Amino acid sequence: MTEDARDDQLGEALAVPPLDDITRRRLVRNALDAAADGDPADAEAPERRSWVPLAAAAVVILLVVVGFVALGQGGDGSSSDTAARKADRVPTAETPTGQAPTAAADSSSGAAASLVPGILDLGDLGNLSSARSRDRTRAALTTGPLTDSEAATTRSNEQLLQDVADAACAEPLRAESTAVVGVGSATVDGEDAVVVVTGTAGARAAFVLVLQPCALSPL
Amino acid sequence: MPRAHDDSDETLVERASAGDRRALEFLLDRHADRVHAICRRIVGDPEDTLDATQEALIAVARGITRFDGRAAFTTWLHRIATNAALDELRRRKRRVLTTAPRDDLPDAGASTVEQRVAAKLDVDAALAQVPEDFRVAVVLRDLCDLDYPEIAEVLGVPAGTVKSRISRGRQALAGLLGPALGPARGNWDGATDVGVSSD
Repeated sequence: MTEDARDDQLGEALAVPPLDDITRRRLVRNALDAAADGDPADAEAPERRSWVPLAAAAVVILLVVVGFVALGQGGDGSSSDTAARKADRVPTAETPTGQAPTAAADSSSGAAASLVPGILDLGDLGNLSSARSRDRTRAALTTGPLTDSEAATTRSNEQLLQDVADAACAEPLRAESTAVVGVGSATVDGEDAVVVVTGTAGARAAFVLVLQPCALSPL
Repeated sequence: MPRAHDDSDETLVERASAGDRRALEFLLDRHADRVHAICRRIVGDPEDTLDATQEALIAVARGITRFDGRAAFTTWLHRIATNAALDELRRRKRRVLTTAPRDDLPDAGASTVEQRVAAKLDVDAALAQVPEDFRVAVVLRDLCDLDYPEIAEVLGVPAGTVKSRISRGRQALAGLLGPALGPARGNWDGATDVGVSSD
């Protein structure tokens, strides 16, 4: 049978960037560890399974106790806690003043962990769920001077860059030719996100990476 | 660094089969990108792709002592990667192939990174619309550069079926990707000929 030649153009379109070192090593290490642990269907399994009914019973008892406690408190404590947590995470971008975000962060949240030199820490950029807030944030990040956030952030740029390294959908941002100049945190529709600014002082672009489910898009 | 290792696959396979964990690590590290690429193009969803890649690498690590060498190592590896991707696809069918057509692609003045993001999304969306059998055949041929007998062995189907699937898969992708593949492409005008569905 005669073979059609490989379609180089299609092959190029289908090409997938290599895994970053961190991800590749993690996958390899996990595989080695799993192989060392042996097949899951081996003799250990029955022993593990014997704990399942006990664990399930413990969970049921715990849920019943928690349920009674919640009912005893009138049932409104959890929702206010949730609201408070959401309020904590929200937004410089959704402020009623309509000002552009200034990469400010929650100064009461404690000091940030170590920072990566050369990559700006943009701080908490707030809630980027609406087109308006995204437009404002994009404008703030891609025009004019870009500076470090002066306030402490809940997550350092080192941690945010790790999120970018771990997110499978962030492949384009990990390409060697992509120069990341700054990262910040945000939320999109209630989900944690990382804002990444690439390029140079003359031509910057901003992207938002939603972590769960993983989705990368231009800001 | 594992990547700098110079031993051939055959040597590493032999040592790994004999229980050399370091050799197995070199082998997995060397082929992880290939496995990931296959899974990425078959599965579509990046998160699910990593799960499939992990499963494939675990399968290789666990199965290397049973690898009998009757097929080439790379053929065996491709079969494992393809099966892991297909398993992932079936397990998480609802979460896959949901990439919606984009109407907000960056304009001509957009940055290179923006263009790359958009192009990648285009390829994902196009692949999602190509039937699974055709997609797998095209990935193995045009991404992995396997020949027909190798693909037939990986998929367990006759070479004639491989040829047909590749042809129809390419035709479908040309129609969906259109200008991205050049001016001579993209004249395919319908989904019914090749059974393209939006799943």
